[in-house]
Amino acid sequence: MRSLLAARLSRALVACYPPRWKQRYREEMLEVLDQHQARSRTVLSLAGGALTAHLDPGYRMGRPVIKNKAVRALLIAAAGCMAVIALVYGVFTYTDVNQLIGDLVWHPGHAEGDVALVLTPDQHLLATLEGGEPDTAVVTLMSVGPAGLRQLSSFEGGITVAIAPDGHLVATSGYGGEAALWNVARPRHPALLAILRPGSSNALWGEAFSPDSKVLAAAYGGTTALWDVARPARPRLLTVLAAHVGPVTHADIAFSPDGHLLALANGNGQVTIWDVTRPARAAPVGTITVRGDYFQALAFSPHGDLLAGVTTAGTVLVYRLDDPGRPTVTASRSGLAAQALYPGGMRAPAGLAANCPGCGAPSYALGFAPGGRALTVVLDKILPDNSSRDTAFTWQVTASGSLTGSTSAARDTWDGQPALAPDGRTVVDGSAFGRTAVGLWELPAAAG
Amino acid sequence: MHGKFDDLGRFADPSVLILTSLSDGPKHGYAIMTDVAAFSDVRMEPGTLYGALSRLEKRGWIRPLDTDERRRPYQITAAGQSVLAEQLKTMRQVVRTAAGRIATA
Repeated sequence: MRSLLAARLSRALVACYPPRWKQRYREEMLEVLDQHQARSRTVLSLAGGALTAHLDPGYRMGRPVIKNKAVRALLIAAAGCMAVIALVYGVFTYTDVNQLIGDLVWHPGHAEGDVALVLTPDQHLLATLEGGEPDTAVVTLMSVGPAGLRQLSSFEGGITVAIAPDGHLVATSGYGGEAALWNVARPRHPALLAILRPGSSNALWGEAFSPDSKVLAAAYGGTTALWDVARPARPRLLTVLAAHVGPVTHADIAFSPDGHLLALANGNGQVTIWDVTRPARAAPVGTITVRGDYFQALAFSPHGDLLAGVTTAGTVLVYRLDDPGRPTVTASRSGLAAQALYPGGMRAPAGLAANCPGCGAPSYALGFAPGGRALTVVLDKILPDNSSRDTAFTWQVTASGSLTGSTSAARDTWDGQPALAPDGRTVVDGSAFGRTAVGLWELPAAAG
Repeated sequence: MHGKFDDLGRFADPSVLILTSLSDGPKHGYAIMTDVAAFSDVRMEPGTLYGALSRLEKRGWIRPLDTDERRRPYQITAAGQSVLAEQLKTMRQVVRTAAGRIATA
């Protein structure tokens, strides 16, 4: 069922609960529905819940509003028929494989540049970064709800953007090595809290918050700073990690779900795993190296026992971390860049050589499903005219960390770094060329 | 199965999942849903969740706390902890029996 239709039906069904029930639970149920991705089973569960609540003597009204039994039965039957028709219509009419959840165009005519997209774990708040140049970079906050995307506010951006899991803080990086910390607890009214200066003038290339939102890791060319942001108005530099060797051209940072490990990728094909149980005394415990290639995205499994990465050449690797000092490869799949198609589903770019001179390097996003049983890689393949195609590859993950089966889904879009939402199924893509826009679409159920 | 969960019938599973989720601290509705999905892979829907919350609250096994804007956190009570412990004891017995029978089959 299309999400929008399911969301509207779900909200309508809350109104069908008994008055006493609504008085007690209505507001919190609507709050949950605002955050929850409504599907046909959501509608069915609410319909069943409303019926059960009506049968519960504790919530039944003292006297029925409609006294005539025959009229009451007729109205209930009519309402039931309408619900069944709506459900059947929804289920059988809207079965798009790649379900578009919402598109938003904002700041038309704004400066061209990169787009970065990050979502909170509850997928309720989206932060986008566009511009990517001094004086033009802008972070935009949007709410993600059943009705799609809604722009909340904008403020000064930088090279990167990160959002804390609790949805209260956003970190942006500057060009002189500083990071800015914003209070977004009231996302319509973001407020600058602090500027973080670790003493390095190198540009920041990546930032990430720990799962408890209390530590910020900020990767520079050469080092990574860990900041205590538990009291965000007074951030404290905890330590500077010096594990990177040589110039960093790209960094990806991932905390393990328990916050005890931090994986840092650099532009030399190396990933360093740090024990950050006590962040001020962080220590390197293991390294992973790929030759002639480097990692573009990293992700820990929800149980923290696996670390997956995808390289710029299109190889996905999974490592087992029973002993983080000795990561062991459990799965490897290469050639994703070659398997992904160009916009329009073409094997080769029309009118261009097969190696596509002028085509941009692919962008990647990577993530596990919440249960850890599926791994998805999203690859954005870009033509010289900046049109692109997102291809999502999903594998089932076995208990040992092997990858089995493979499904894929794709959608044409415009150049922009894709993001994979924490549910492992919602892809966020954006474009910054010609029109600045962001779209959310949902992968088939196999990705869940 | 016997004991205090008898009258929950087919609703026993969501109730166990919710009590388990609340056993490490109070949570609001959506946090319970995401926590349950994380530790059990069960995607609970809002209708099921609030049906179970209502029954658990009525029996005094959880209690609502003050709302944080529109979110209302729930806390497990001492009676709820005792019921959960009893239920887990039964489940462990079932697992032991099943494991033993599979091994000898």
